[in-house]
Amino acid sequence: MPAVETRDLGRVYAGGVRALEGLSLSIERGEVRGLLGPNGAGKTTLVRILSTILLPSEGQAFVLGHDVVRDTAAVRAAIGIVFGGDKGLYPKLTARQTLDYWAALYRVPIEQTRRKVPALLDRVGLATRADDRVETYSRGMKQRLHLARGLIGDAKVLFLDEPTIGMDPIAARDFRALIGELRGEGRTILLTTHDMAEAEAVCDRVALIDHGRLLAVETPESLSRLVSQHERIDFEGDDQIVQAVQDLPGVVAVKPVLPTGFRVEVADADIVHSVLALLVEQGVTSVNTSRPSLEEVYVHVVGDRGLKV
Amino acid sequence: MQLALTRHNIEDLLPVLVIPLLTLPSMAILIHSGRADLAPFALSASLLMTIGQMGFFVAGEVVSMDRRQQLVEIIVASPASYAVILLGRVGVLTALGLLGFGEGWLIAWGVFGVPVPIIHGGLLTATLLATVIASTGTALLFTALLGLAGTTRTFQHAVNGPFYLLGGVLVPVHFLPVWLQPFAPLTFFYWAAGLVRDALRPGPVEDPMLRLGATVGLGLAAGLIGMLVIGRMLGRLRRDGTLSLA
Amino acid sequence: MSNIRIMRHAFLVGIRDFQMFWTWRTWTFGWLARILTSAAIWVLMGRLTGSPQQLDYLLIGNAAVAGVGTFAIAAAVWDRWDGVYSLLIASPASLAPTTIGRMAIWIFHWLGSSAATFAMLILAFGWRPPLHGLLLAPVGVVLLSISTFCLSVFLGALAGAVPALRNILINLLTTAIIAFCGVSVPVSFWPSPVQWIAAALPCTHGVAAIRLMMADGSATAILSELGQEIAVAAFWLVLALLAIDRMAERGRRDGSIEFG
Repeated sequence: MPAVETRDLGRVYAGGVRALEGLSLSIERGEVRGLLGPNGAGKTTLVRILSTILLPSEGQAFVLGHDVVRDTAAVRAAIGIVFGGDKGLYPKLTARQTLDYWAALYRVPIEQTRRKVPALLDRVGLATRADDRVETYSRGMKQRLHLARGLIGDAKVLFLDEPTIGMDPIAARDFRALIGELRGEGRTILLTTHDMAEAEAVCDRVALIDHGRLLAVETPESLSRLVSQHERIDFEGDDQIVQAVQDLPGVVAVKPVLPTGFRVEVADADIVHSVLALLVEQGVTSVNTSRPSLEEVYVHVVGDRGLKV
Repeated sequence: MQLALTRHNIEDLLPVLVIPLLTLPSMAILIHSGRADLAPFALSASLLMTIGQMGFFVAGEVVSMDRRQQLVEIIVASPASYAVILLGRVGVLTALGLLGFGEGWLIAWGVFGVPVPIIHGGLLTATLLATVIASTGTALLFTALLGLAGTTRTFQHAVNGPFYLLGGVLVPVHFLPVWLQPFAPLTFFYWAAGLVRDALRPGPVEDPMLRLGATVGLGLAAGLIGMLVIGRMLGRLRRDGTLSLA
Repeated sequence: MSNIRIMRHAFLVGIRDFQMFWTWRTWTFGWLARILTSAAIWVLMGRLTGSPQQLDYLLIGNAAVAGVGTFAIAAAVWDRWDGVYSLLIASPASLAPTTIGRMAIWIFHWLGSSAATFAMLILAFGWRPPLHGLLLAPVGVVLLSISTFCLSVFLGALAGAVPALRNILINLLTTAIIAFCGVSVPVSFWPSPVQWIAAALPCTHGVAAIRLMMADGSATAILSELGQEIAVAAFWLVLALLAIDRMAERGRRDGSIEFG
């Protein structure tokens, strides 16, 4: 039995706004699944349905075999939710008081709570600030407390909804390391994000979603290939250099970019190195590499596969 | 602009909607005691409490909101005088408080069958206008002290009660302890309440111009001090980056 | 037991809420200034009308309900503002203990306001209530505060749907109590339909009980009024629990429950 399963899941809001349509996916136990998509793609709607705070309009969803509509209590006892941003915590409580409260809400026996709370605070690196008010925490610290709160009930399935949004890169990296640890414990994790690098770094598989529909499910490797296949190099140079670059094997195209530059598109990540070497040799100093944006990846995915999973 | 803001934020209109409802218990007390003739007291209270609430409470919220949305710094950086802008906005809000009189009058008539005749219409009109001016000025001072200094919430709740008591908006000041009574004329509420009640009762009105002058004068004085305070605080904002009075 | 534990923790959140508004200094000089002057103004109406009976009537009524009904309804929506509402719904626990626990601090706020008002009216107005009445009155004040709290929880649940209405509801509640519940004038002053509504509102029976206590009323009559106040509390509590659940289900259906 998969940890999370949806069958033709749909959700329509008032005014006919369709957030999810015919979404069927399956997440195995112990898997870390990324849900990647631009803003408004339906990622959070899906998580809200799975976490029982939103009812679907069509289809079904199951968490650990329990129907999210009919068996709400069983689902709630087994899941943990972590979302990003500043809200979701009581600012005037300390971290310790926060976890004590949520332990009560998740019916963790008092004896267990006394052991679990310090252990969790230690695990997420908040032990030294455990008795400071949450309002004094940085965004990264709040996020770690969110994670601790999501784990207080020993959740077998964790929903992480854009957990690193607004975090600085170091804090985000540390947070992802924590997620990696959780994966090692056999928990099932659904992580929504619009950050491809995050999806690649943490997930076993990544589901691409847009306009409420599932576009594809990829491993991070194939996502990476998809992305690096279309890596670009921007530079400033004269026509002679442009010609030299165009002649390199594996260079797909060299296009002018306003106002005075050129963009090189390559077929393979290995080619980037050759192009850069040539540009340096030619004395070009203004060079910039970039990866395609999420939207551009989506265009390619949709273009290559249509809407089939 | 303030009217547009107010239309979108029902909470600003809260005093106008609910304060006049206090006419229900006040008129009930008067009628139950066989003193329907004292209805003008209930109406003066309805008017002045509504205006007072709009002035102090809501106007204080205006500045708090500006602070929260960090608009103060933006406005201060612009050529417009924040004090003048505030004056306009507080004035609009206070003027809306005039509805308190009409609502109170309708409750007295519709619920209790007591149509309070407006004996001296001209005086009433002048009093209402004077009250708006006075309330605007006083509210400006309190907005400066409470809103800009950032101590709004606590004293927003507190500031009105003592003024209503001291000003005799519902119960005339000669019912207050003797030692408190000399302070009453220092509030514009005192003068305005007396004028409203006299405008609703038959008989000649004593010294209307003097009393109107006192009403307006107290408000203008408060407003002037308010503008000075605002100017000083904004000057400090420009210099130090903080809005504190200290 | 687990619900008690949850309420304990939620009560701590409520204490922090209270501390956001008031320190002991600002509560004493800010809040009490408002409450005491408000009570004084109403009581002075007794002097204005020239009726000693009216004055006595106003003294007892205003002391009993001073501050009652304020703040609690607003507290019902603060879980949404803190962004925890969705997390509370998604937890295994029921919403009721968290909501009730967080709001409960305001009962103490009301009790403190009433106690201070009793003291002020005795000192400032030379009021001399009978000692046994004064000793028994807290029972009535506690019960009417609890029943007002239950109505506040119900109204707070409704306010969750339209948070902008919360302050309007607070003001309507406090005005209704002062006007219709036997605080300013006897309930019998009003037309019958208003009397029936007043009978189901908090404070009506509690205030009546306190008046009986002050007037050497029979124990049976006092207990009858107190019993009816308890019944009113139970009535609104049941409605409140239903409303809390209903509003949560409504939110799940219409998608209004967001993360954060």
